[in-house]
Amino acid sequence: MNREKSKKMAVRIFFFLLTLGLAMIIAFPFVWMIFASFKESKEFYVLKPTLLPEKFNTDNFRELFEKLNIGLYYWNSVIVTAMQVLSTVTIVLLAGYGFAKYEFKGKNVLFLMILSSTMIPWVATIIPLYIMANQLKLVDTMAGLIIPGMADAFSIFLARNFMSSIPTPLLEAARIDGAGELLIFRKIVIPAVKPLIAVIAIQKMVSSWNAFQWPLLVVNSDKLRTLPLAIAKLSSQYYDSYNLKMAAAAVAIIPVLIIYVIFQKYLVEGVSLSGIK
Amino acid sequence: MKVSQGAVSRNRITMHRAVPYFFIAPAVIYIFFVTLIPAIMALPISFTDWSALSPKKNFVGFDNYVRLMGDKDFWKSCLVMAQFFIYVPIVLAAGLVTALLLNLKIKGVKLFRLIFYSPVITSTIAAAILFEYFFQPSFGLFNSILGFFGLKGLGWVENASTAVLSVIIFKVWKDFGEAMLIYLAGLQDVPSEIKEASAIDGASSWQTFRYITFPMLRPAHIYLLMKNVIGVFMIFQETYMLKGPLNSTRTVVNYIYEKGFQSYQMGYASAMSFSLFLIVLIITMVQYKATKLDVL
Repeated sequence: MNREKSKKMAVRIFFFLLTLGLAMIIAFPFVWMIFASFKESKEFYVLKPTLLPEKFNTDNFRELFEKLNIGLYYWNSVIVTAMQVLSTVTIVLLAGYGFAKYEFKGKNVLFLMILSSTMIPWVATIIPLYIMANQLKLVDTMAGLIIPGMADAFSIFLARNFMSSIPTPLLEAARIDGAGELLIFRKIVIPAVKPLIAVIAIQKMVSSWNAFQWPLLVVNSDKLRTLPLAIAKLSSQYYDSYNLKMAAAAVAIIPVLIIYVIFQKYLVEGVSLSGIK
Repeated sequence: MKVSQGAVSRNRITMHRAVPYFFIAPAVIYIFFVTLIPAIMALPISFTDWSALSPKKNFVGFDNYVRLMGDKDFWKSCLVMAQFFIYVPIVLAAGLVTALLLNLKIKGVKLFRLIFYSPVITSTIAAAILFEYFFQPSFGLFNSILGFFGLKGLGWVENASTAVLSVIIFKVWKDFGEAMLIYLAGLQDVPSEIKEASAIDGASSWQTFRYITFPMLRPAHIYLLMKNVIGVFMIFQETYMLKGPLNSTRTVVNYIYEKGFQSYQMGYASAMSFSLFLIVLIITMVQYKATKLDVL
């Protein structure tokens, strides 16, 4: 019996160590990035690289912000992300509520249309979308950068499912009391779906912040570049300055990692909310 | 007085009928203009020789599709894409193994889950920069590690024969966390009674996994298989950053980008993207069929 127990214990310890080892491998690139962003250029060209820099100097970050203008790209990314998150949350909540709690003509057809649009890959739409943007003179403008990411079809599906669980009698009671539809939406519906809002906002934030394909096509001028675009450009322009590249990667990745650690519950919940198991 | 009151209430009724449309209008307009109209427009554009820079465009019928059939570079990019399909079983296996480990309720599960999922939320472009250095043949980290064990270093991305493999390593690191989360959710649906019952019947842990847990994860397998197969068709950012020599990592989407946005042959690029779309659509249909059958 005792032997059985200690064998079980040994197995558990083995699996724990295995998981720990895997976690260290997965996290390693980030750990390495953080230390390497304080290194000097020459420290990258050695046969036996060390994890820690010779000394922590912040020259790389200074150069990124002072000479390479990364503050501007940062600001562009912040603006684009903020606008897209705000509009996505608004549009998705309105539509989710409309589809969940009203009966109207054409409801099923319109919902099917939204659902089927999630099956269309970005590659299929990107050339016509670019041509449309070109004709509307939106290429190389902030509006052209933001508009195609202002909502998300899959989140509408998510929102409708989630909002179906709001009790209808609650809404009816408010209507009898004479509350208008928009007031009901603002005062009853919104407070009831806070976790849903968090899920949609965090998911959109991550995807906007990391967006690359559309910005690559629509942005030409330097002053509109977002962080991923700037990093891709830096990577080819200063292809041998690994110190700068590491610092730039750190600048782009660390804010998202921090937000992810704080709000991870909602990202994980998003997967289960979507009902795919 | 009476008449105007009737008008007011009639107005209120029509207003009431219009309310739901106000709620859904922004979303419907958005989907219409950003996804559906462009998707439909792709086909007529693919029948032209449009450059998109000039208003001049000629109808060329199926010329772009005929050209596509004879385009060696296109077939080469299809071949590259085909090589990337090795990624699918690897990423599913990595996701499943980590999900099974976390499902053992070892200490620190939450922290481990946090770490395993973290590459998924990072920018592909920024993360690719890290791996670009790791893969560097003469002083990169991977070859330093191989050297530490007395092994000869590889050319990684800079060698045409290992370039795809290198990108796959990067992509598995980046994406397996998502497979892990979905498998974890699926594992929570496997009733522990069944596993206990099979253990009492004398089944080994491997047998329990092979004949009970694994088959019960079928919805997760199907979802992840389809998602990652479609993902392979869409590979772009990874190979935009980690470019192998001799177009050894140029996928179909990279090729569409070159033709459409660097050579400005929008008509031709459209023909390629429409063909790709049809293939992906067929796979999606199969997926919906397969998951529907599952529910029955």
